[in-house]
Amino acid sequence: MAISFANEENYSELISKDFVIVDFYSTTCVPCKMLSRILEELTVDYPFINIVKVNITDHQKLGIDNQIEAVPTVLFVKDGTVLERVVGLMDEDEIIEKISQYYYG
Amino acid sequence: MDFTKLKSKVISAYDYRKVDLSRLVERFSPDEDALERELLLIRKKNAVMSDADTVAADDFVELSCRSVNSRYNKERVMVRVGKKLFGKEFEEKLVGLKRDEQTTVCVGGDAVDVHIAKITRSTLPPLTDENVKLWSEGSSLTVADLREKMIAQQKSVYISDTAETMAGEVQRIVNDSSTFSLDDAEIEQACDEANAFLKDMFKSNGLDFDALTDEQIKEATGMSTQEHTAFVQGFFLESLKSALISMELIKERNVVFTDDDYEKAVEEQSMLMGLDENEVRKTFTYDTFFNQRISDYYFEQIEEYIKSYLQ
Repeated sequence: MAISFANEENYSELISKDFVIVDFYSTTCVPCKMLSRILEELTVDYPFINIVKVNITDHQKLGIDNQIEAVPTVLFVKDGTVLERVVGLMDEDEIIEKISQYYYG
Repeated sequence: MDFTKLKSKVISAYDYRKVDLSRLVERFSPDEDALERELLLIRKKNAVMSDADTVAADDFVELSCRSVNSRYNKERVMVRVGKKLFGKEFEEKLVGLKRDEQTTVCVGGDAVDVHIAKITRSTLPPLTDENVKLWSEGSSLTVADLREKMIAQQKSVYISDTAETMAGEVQRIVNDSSTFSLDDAEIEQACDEANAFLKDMFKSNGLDFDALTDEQIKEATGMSTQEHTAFVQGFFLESLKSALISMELIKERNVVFTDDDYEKAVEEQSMLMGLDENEVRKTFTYDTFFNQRISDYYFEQIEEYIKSYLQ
């Protein structure tokens, strides 16, 4: 599946199964662009990791429902349950560490 | 501070277009490392995937494993061999195993029964004109064209980032080279606003500015209380001066902010804040918008000046 873009209709389904990294971003935020780039590179090396991107500019309700107070915010989700929430830019090593911890944990 | 009702005045405004940018910003030069990373990413995205019989480093392996160690007790899990995400020692022991092989390996003293279900190998395609054409969906791009396009993108980002970063510095130079008649009450108001901002900033980090010792403030900011207060107040006074120059420019150029501009700004704020537009209008009034435009207008003009210099 790699990268999917969520909206109000498909969000719950996209995060309901397996391990998913959810990236809440906005189009104007510079750190969001940097994180997007890192995630894009990761999906090439680890295509079996599912990434769900939520543009909170276009899907405000998802931002509110998930208590997103700042972007980027990354949720590490397994079978629909949020295991960890990280606010702010993460580097590649930090994300890889979380994948190692939660995907294989 | 309401910039529309200032008593302070500009006596003489230095023209920002006279600031020597050659001393402040460097001309663009391509970042070759970033370019190579980008090209590698394109090749990786277009990698050819094929089934393999024996596990090698970098292969994608689908496997099941059983062990008393719960980490190695998984059904149909994907592993990128050698990336160390699952476990360095375990991944090393996968190398050389065959498809459909069932075996037991030892990881950290625990026996792990492994069944290799599928091995997929990713082969990077070469960067050729033919491949580039194929990847760019029918366009006639060559490798050289692709590089050129990527360099143009790098340049565009560099110009926009540099303009945003350096506009403040140009404002400071303009302020230093201009003369102002600042109203005492407005200076005091700028300092009060700076102090309130300072306290809010510490509060948002769970700290009470007034209760902190000089040493604690130095630890948090790298400056003494006096230095840090002066720094923040200086920033607010610079903003006051910039607003005065901006007002001059707006008048001189007959710039008018319309109701449509306000409505567009409300729409933007609504999207950024995730609030209904009517809710936004309660706090983001026309006056607030106008005040913000006064600050932003001058900054944007300087950004444009830097951009045109760097083109």
